[in-house]
Amino acid sequence: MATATTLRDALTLMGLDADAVDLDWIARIMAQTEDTIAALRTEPGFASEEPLFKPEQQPGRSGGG
Amino acid sequence: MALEGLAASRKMVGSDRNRAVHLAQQAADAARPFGGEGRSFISIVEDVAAAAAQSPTSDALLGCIFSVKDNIDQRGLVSTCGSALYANGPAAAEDAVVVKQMRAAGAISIGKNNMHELALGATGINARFGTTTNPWDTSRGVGGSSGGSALAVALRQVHVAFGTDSGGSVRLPAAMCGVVGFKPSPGWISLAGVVGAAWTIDCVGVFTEDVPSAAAVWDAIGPAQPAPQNRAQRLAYLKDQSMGRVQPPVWERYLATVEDLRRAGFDLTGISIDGLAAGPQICISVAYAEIASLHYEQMRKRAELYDPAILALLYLGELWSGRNYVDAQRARSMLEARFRRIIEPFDAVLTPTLAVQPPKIGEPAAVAGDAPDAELYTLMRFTVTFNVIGYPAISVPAGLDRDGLPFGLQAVGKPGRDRILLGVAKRLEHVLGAMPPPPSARHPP
Repeated sequence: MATATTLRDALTLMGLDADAVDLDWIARIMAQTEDTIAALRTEPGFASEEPLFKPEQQPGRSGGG
Repeated sequence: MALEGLAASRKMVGSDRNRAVHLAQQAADAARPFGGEGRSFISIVEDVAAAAAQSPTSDALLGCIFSVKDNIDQRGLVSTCGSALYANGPAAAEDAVVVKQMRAAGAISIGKNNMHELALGATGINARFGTTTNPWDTSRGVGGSSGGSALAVALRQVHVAFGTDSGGSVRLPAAMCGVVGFKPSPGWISLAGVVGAAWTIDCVGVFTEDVPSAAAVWDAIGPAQPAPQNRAQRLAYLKDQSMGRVQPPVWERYLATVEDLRRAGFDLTGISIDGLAAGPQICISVAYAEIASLHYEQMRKRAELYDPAILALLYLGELWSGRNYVDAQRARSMLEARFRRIIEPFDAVLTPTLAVQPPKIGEPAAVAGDAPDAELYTLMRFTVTFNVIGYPAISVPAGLDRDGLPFGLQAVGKPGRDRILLGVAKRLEHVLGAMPPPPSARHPP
């Protein structure tokens, strides 16, 4: 689980200013998000559903920018 | 100056293009720099006649005055995205596709609307360009991220405004301002010319004062789709708080609205909507990663130009692993399959648009019992999942709650059935009654 300390190290390695943000907040949101989606991993359909995003099947979509 | 409604303005203009340009110039002059009241605009077109010189190919929207959120390119104006990062950037050389489509239909743009910085938030609080204030209670915000667009329509500064919606950014401010906010099926309005869009999740959406105006825009620029059938519409409504907690005044108004619809003869089936609770977490896993990829250099070179809260969201996008991103995409497909089964027997599903009243500026949006740090999730509770799974949705004004604040009813339709959804919304509005403009936008008696 990420902590403010591990996030500081990771962000610094990425070349980002770790002092510019609230690292504890990021750690909490990351943990909560990981837990929520992890709970879906064991449910039927997680590995079997077709991908939803299929750009070639969305007429009129020409991409963001 | 408050504009008359779209239908009345089109009737007044007729086929006289000079009269349309004159009306647009009046509207532009009235929407003072920075939007005057409420800070609805970031930039205004100075010379409307010159900007509208290109000949339209039809008169479908002649007499329609519109504006776009400041992340949608309009030739000759800077797309600031509500951020200091782009505030001094070059003017766009070309119109976004949606602007071209509106111009081709005879509509005239008068400028660019204020927004939450980089479209990464739902409060409308903006340190660089000023915070948009709610026309029904100026101590409250208009929401976001397309808050300026919603406000411009509420104040009748324009007939139509465009925004973008990746978690509710059109429907939320529409509900808070008492206007219609329509997020179509993804891909049906081009994202070309939208700056910094979340690649797989963003949509261009439209604000209007009523549903027929939204339908007129869709008829002019939308694709050919099945039309509403002449039969009773089958509607479901969320009968409980299975999608999350709701503030008492909002829930009370929602249930009263459902009762009004039932009394008017709507065939309504009450349903629970379980199994979609991961929508917000899926959205932030996907959208922030997609947006962070567009900010790779800027985050490293000019971090001081971001609001720290916005920078934290982009850092989240950097920190997710590839596995996190793919997990979220898989979860997204699962939720879509679940909701497909829920909506299958119906033409649309009704929910509140928002779980809360428009929040006071500077106070976090929360319902008693919500987790701390969850303001964004609280605001997006009823909207974000339908971005994640790619369903069209519209927020229709449904009067004022017991405290005199606007309430929005959300109708969710099936992908590619946007015209049918607009047909449902038209019937809802017919029963619920047109929303009056806020006091500050009313014409003198």
